[in-house]
Amino acid sequence: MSDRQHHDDVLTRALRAVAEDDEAFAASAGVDARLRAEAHAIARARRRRVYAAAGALAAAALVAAIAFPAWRAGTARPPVVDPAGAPDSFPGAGEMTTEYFPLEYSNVPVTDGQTLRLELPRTVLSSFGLEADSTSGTVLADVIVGQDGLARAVRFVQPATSVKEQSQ
Amino acid sequence: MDDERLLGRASRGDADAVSTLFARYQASIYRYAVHMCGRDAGDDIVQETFLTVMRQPGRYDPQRGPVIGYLLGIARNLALKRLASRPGAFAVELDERDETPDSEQETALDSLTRMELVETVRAAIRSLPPPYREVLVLCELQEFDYAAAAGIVECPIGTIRSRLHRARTLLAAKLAAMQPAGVTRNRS
Repeated sequence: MSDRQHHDDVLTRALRAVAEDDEAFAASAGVDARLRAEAHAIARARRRRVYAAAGALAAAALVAAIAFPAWRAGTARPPVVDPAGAPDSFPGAGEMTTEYFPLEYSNVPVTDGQTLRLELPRTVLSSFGLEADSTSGTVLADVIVGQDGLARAVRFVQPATSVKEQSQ
Repeated sequence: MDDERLLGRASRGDADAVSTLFARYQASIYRYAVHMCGRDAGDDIVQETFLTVMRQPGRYDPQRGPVIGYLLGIARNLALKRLASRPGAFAVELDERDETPDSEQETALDSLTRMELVETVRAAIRSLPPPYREVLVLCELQEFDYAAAAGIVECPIGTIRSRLHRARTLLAAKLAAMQPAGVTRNRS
């Protein structure tokens, strides 16, 4: 073996000894703990951003839900009052009803929807392009609501007593 | 789970992914940091490396090599910043003197106990100019191949090869010149 080769072998063995000794080297456990804390902070910040985005979307949906009827009232043909169109669930004799007006979630498929009869402020009539003889008081409305709780459509109801009074 | 997915999860704040990556690679990064900047810097550089991964997601390119190369690349940049605060620390010293070790070198090394040998070689490695030191650490101590080391150091493979050769020559010369404390050489 040449001197050069021998030098190389000695040096390689010495470096191997250092490498083996290095195997005991490791970062302290505190570093892992600090990194985990940072990861949790990043996750919290990420969740906050997601919640903020979801909140903005919800606000936008609410604005759209409020603005849609007004927009529709300005562009759609006034609905025809259908005296024979009383809802199945509220078969009030002699009642007069409007057609159903689609609401914000009207395009969401609905199964097992329910019709709820509500009293709404009379002022909402103008939002749907209907004339209101008074701006005070309430008006009856049938609202179709899906099992998901989203309202699909609404129609307004004139009770039988009011119809009789008007006809006299 | 593969390293690339772990990186993605770590950057999204998955603490378990961070811990898994840490467990896999902290030792290699720590050793590199200690050899380059000393024991005091080891924990800091490891921590900063993983924080960079978490805070700057999407920078890993699998085409450029494995995740450990990416992590050591970050650690290297951090180490260079530290060394930069010591003027001239990373300048390549091209000493053209013939530093072929004399025949006493093996006699000196052979006479040391294992612990003395390790400490003596460590001291000699620390005294190498950083460009040679890092190649020696990567290729000899951590056993990266030339291509992987070139990816980490961001230089051609030929440069790695020549720096490693030079590093070994310098190291041998330094070892030959060192008189380990408390060691009696067996010389006639």
